[in-house]
Order: sequence, then structure tokens, then C-alpha cells
Amino acid sequence: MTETLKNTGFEEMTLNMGPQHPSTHGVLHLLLKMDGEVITEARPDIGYLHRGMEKLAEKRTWGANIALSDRWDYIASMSNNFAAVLGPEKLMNIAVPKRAEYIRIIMAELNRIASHLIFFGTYGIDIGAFTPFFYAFREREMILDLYESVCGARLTYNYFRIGGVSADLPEEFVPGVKAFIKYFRPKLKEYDTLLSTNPIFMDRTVGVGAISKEEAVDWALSGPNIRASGISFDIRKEDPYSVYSEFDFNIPTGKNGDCWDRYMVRMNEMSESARIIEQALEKLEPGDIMAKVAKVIRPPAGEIYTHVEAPKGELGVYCISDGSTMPYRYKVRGPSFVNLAILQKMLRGLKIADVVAVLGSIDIVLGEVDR
Amino acid sequence: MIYASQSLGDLWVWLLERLAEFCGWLGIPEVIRYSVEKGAYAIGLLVFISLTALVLIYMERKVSAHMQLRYGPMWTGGWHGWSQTIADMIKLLLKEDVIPDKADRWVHRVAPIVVFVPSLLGFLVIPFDKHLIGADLNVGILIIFGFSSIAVLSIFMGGWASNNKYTLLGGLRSAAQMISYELPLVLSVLGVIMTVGSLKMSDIVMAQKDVWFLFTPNFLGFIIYIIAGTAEVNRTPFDIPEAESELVSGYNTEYSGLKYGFFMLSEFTNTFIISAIAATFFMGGWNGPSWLPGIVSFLGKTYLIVFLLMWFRWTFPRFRVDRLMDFGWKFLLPLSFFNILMIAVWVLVKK
Amino acid sequence: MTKIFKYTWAILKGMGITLKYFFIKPVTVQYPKEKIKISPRWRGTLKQLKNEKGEEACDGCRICEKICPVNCISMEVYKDEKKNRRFTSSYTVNFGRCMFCGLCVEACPKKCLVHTTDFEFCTYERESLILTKDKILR
Repeated sequence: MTETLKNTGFEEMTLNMGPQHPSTHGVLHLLLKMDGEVITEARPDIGYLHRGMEKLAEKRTWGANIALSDRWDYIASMSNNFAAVLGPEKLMNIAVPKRAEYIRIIMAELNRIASHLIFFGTYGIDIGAFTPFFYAFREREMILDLYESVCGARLTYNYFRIGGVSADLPEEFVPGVKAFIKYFRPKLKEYDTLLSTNPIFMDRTVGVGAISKEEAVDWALSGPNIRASGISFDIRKEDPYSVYSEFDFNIPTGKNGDCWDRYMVRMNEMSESARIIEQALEKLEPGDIMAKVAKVIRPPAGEIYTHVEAPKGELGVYCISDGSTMPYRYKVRGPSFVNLAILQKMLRGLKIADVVAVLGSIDIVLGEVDR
Repeated sequence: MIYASQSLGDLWVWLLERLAEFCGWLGIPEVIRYSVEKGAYAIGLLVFISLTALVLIYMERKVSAHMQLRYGPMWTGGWHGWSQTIADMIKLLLKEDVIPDKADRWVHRVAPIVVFVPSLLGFLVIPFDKHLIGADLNVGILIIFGFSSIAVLSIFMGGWASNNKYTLLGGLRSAAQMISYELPLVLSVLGVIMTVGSLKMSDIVMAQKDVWFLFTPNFLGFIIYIIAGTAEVNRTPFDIPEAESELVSGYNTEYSGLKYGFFMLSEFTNTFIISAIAATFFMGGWNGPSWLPGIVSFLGKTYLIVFLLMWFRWTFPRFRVDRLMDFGWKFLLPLSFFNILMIAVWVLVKK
Repeated sequence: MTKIFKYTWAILKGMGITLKYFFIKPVTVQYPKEKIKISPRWRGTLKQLKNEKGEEACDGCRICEKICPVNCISMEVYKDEKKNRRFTSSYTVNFGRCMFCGLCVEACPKKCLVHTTDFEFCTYERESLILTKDKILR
């Protein structure tokens, strides 16, 4: 309680923001203690979307867990698939064919663009601009169309397999991606004109909810959130999985770690992802898409932690195999979950309008927070 | 004789003359004639307002839809979903009217009426055409601003009475916002009033027979007026009382059915009034090419401003509440004082 | 002062973009009237194929039943001594549970279980989401 409140005898107001609220990105429940419009205490309350993913995984075969992984962060399913297949592959020492690796990277990077597009659109809505949302979704729809032509689904792709990918690319895919990249680059500039440099938008985001470097490390942030604070931490560079070491790309970083930096890091990442996709398309050569893998997958007993750079941050899977067809333990480190924790610290002292700005800039997906 | 090219105002005057003749012939007292005259105007105005609200809501949907690469309503009624708003109104009429538990029931009921009536009364002094004005008062513009400031009260009433923290915050925000933006709004119009030397609406229109005030130093006043007017009717970027992503729906969160309809209706009628004043004060009102009926010219200008407001709404993000206050008091208010000074000098020089 | 001009210019540019799209044809589709093209790989409802003799190709190996992560496929199998192969006496897919992961189609050794491109299978009752053999075998 602030001093003024104590002296005047007024009370704090408790505001339950969510779980039904237009801008808590799902079913997040924020318990806000407020002094007028200023927040004195914030407590995120999660678990409304808990489905017991980790326990479910123990009763599903390794292959079926890929289908389950679609449901963690349901707007970046390809990255989830990536994380789900890396563990068993390492345990079983499977060498994935080159073509499959490149296809995986194209898919994951396209998914990064799609995920950041959703961030861009919903962040606009959080701040109050509705129109960018529709522009972002127009582009995302094109990516989904590409995905649909490859794997037959638009949201839960279930495309990666242990040892490769489930289907080869159709003929129209590569030209489609090239056309998309060509179309997409100018659109990024348009987004900048429409939202990024808009004075009102900058007024709302610059300097709001700043995270210092030390704080970012202390709270174990990852992904664009830690990069916005000026720490160039990206698993694609730090611990290159798949064939990421072959590609030439930059890690965009911010300076102040405020909402605008987090936003800009994501916007810049989209063009970097486009660069990776272009390089991968050039390297793509005909070949196998699946390694020789037994029909029934039984990884040897052992434990392993694999992580990928999902659009939201470090998505890690720690799995223990006891040599059977199902994992013994399956722990998922969801980036949204870890990133969400810092919210309670950031919100203190901000206005209620900043809650949505900060929450939106962390870019969480409740499916991954609660799992 | 009445020709089609002649203005609606002339038709109205002609009708009034016939009415006077008729009354004189029958020996009907003056009081009744006057009541009939004003009653007819009021009914016409009510019909016009309800039609305007329907058109504006439809227009808002279509404008927003096309700016967002959508079509908007396309099915109801056949051609481009023209009857969607009518269907929505019927739906609002049929909906259950919920009053929250422990709400201040009486205030909760009265608030929608308090918000709607002033916005109706504002129409009285809007000059639609040469003689087509409800009451050409010599304090015309003051009446409108007076009525529009009552709207603050009703929004605050609605926010307070709903027994909801979101509505309370919305009501408080709107009180702060509307009071601080009423100042630049009135001051920006003051420039025009100084130039004309009259508060009467018809005088202001007549003064723009040759050149619109938009193309004089009053241009700055126009910009201030548009910004403050947007804030006055609570539209994005100043829709802080409603602030969908923050306060759910602000002061009208707990309203449903017809009461919500009143809030929505008044929002659109207020938009129309603000645009109509802009058209009257800065764009020459019903002045226009001689072949165009005055009312068409007036409505055309008004809808242009309405489109501008919608354009703002679907382009910009929302201000934060403290920045809004900063902007209003520290930038807009000094600017409008500067505008008054500038106009004063201009008027002196012109003399 | 330059700040004001810069801001105004940025605002005007933003407004220019929305105005540009105001005059561009919308990209949305009027759904029931016009439909977007569905990819042939679309993972829609399941369908069993018949073999060249016109009888069901499925020989009841139960792989799809086992691989299904959500247990939505169930079947009963009998052996036809005359033709010396197995047939399914019942084959039920509960689409209320199905998550369209496509693992069953991938695993089918006879390649007789396939996806259709049908995505409009909403019903009013849950019972009608449970498709029996006569509806799946087409």
C-alpha cells in the first residue's frame, strides 16, 4: 500500500483481470491491487487451460507425442514438433536426411513468422489499433495455406516424424514460399509505417515495462524477451541444433528492454527468418525425407534434454526413456510459462493501460503456460 | 411552385406558409399553429436522427471492414447486408435487460436516458438548410456544448451505478477526459465566433458564403476542433472510457438490451453532431454550388467529417490515460490559446 | 516543432495505408457462397477404400486402432475361411474424439484408410459424430 493511501484512509481496489477479459490472451487471470489506476501489486493466476500434457505424454507412444506437442503452443506447432522429435532422435542416434533437415528449418522459420505475425496483430489490438490485426492475418493465412498444401492441416500440423518429416513437399510449395517471401518483405515496411513508428504507439510502448539485463537473466527469460534487453541469446546460435549452423543470419537485439524493443526485436526477426528460409530453399535438394527408423520406436533407456528456439523463446523437452514405446517422464519447458513470471515484477507501479501493453509484449500463449 | 432543385429549406418555408394560410382560414389560434409547426419539425428530426444512427452504424461497419480487407455484413437484407443494423436494433430490443446485483438501480436505469436526450436536443440548433433549423437561437453553439457536457454526467452515472470496477474506472476516465477536452473544443470554435461576431448558427453559415473558414487562419482551429471533437465523442485514439482491451467495454460493460442501444445510439448521434458543427463552422454549412440543394451539401460535408473520424478510429492505437491528459492540457490548450490570439490579430488586420 | 511535423507526417503516412486498403478489394471469402480451394492433402474425415474386386480392402490388422493417440477407432475382426483373409465386421470412428493427426492413415499397411477433403461435418448431436462402417467404407 502506498503512503498516500495509508494517510488518507482510502482503500486499495482489487481488480480481477481475466480469466474472461478481451486482452489477457486466453484465460490468464491477473489479480491486480490498484491505487486508482496505478497498480501496486499484480499476481498472475494460471492453470485455467491445464490439460496435463506431461502426464498424458507418459501414456502416449513417442510418435503420438508429436501429435500431442501441437497443442502446447498452438500457434507455433512446427517448433513444438521440432522440440518433440529432437530428444528421441538423439537417444536413438538417428541421422536425419539432409532434405528433411532443410524442410524442417523452412517450416520452423515460416512458423516463426506466423507466430510473430499473430503477436503483431494482437499487440496492435491490445494497444487499441484494430486494423493491423487483419493485415497480419492476411499474411499468416498465406503461410497456413502453404502448410496445408504440405501436411494437410492449418493449425495442428503434426508434420515432423522421428527421423524426418511425414510427407515430401508438393511441387507448388517451393515457388509458393518464394512468392510469399517476395510479397512479405514490403509488407514489413508497411507494418512499420502503420504501427511501429506511429507516435501514439511509441508513446504507449517506449520506456514502458523495461527489463534490465540482470533482471532478464535472473528471471530466466528467453527468446525475443531476453534479446530485447540487449543479451544476444539465441539457441540457434548458442547450441545449434539441426543444421542451423550452416545459415547466415543475425540475432536482432534491443537496447532498453522496454515494450517497444520487444516489439521491434520480433519485427526484425521476421525478416531474419525470411533470410534463413531463402538460404534453405537454395540448399534444398531432392533426396530422402525419412531416415531408416523402425516402425515401433523404442529409444534406448536414458535421459536427454533438447531445446529449440521457438518463436516465444527456449522450448525445451526433457525426456527419460526406459526403453519402452512410451516415455517414462516427459517434461516440457515452455517459454511462455517462464517468461510470464516476470510480469508480477514489471507491473508494479504501472497504469492499468500498461498491463495490456506489457502482457502483450511478453507474447504468451496460454496453451503453453498451462500445458 | 416548388422545383426539385430548390432546397429543402424553401420547401419547409413554403409548407409553413401554407399552414399559416390554412390556420388563418380556419381561425385556429396561433399557439396551436406554432405547436403543429414545431411538432412536425421535431417528428421529422426524430425520424432523421434514427435514420442517421442506422446509416452511421452501417457506415462504420463498412468503412472499418473495407479498411481491414473485409466486406463487413453482406447477407442480411440482400444487397451488401443493408438491413444488418435494423436487425441488430431488433435484437437489442428483444434482449433481456440485465441490472447487476447490488447496482444502484435507479441511476442505472436513468443513465441511458440522460445520455440520449442531450444528444437529441443538440440537433435543435443545427442548421440543415437555409431555413431548416429547429430554433435559430442567438446562443446556438453554446446550447450544443452545454448539452454535450451533460453526456459526461450520464457516462459517469452509468459507470458508477453498475457496481463494477471496470465501469467505475471507465466512468472516472470519461469524466476526466471530457472535462479536459471540452476546453480546447470550445476555444477552437471561439476563433470562428470572433471572426463572425455572432453565436447564431445561421450567421456563421452566412459569413462563409464566399470562402469557408477552413481556408482562412481558422484552419488551425479546425484541426484542434477535430482532435478535441474526437475526444469528446470517445472515439479512438481517445476511446479511453471504453478502452476495449483494457476495461472490457468501459462504462457500458454492464448494460444490455435497449439501454446499451441508447448508449450506442448516443455515441453515433454525438459523432454526427460533432461532424455537423465542423461542417457548419469550418466548411460553410449548407453553402455550396447553386445547383446542389443546401441539405445535400451540408450532409455531404458532415459525412466527410464522419468518415474522417472513422478513418482515425481504424488507423490509430489508443492513448494512455495520463498521456491523454498531458496532450490535452499541455499541448492542445496552449495551442488553442495561440489560435485565438492569431485569429484576433487576423480580425484586426482585416478590419 | 520539428517533432510535431515528424509526428504528423508519421500519422498521415499511417492513414495513407488504411486509405489505400480502403479501395483495394477485400481478401476475405464469402464462405457458404464461395469456398477456398482445399489442398488434396487435407486431413479431413476418414474413408476406407475398396479393392479392385469391390470388397473392402481393410484386412483388420488393427494397426490404426493401436496407433491412434486418442483411441477413437474401434473395430471387430473375423476371419473368412473361404477367401482366406480377415474382414472387419464393424469399424467405428468417433469423430468427437478424433484430432485429425493422420497417424492412422500413415500407418495403414494396405493404404486403404485415407483422408477426405471434407471439413464440414458439424452436427447437432454427438451421436452423429460416431461414424460406423457403412459411412466410412465408400
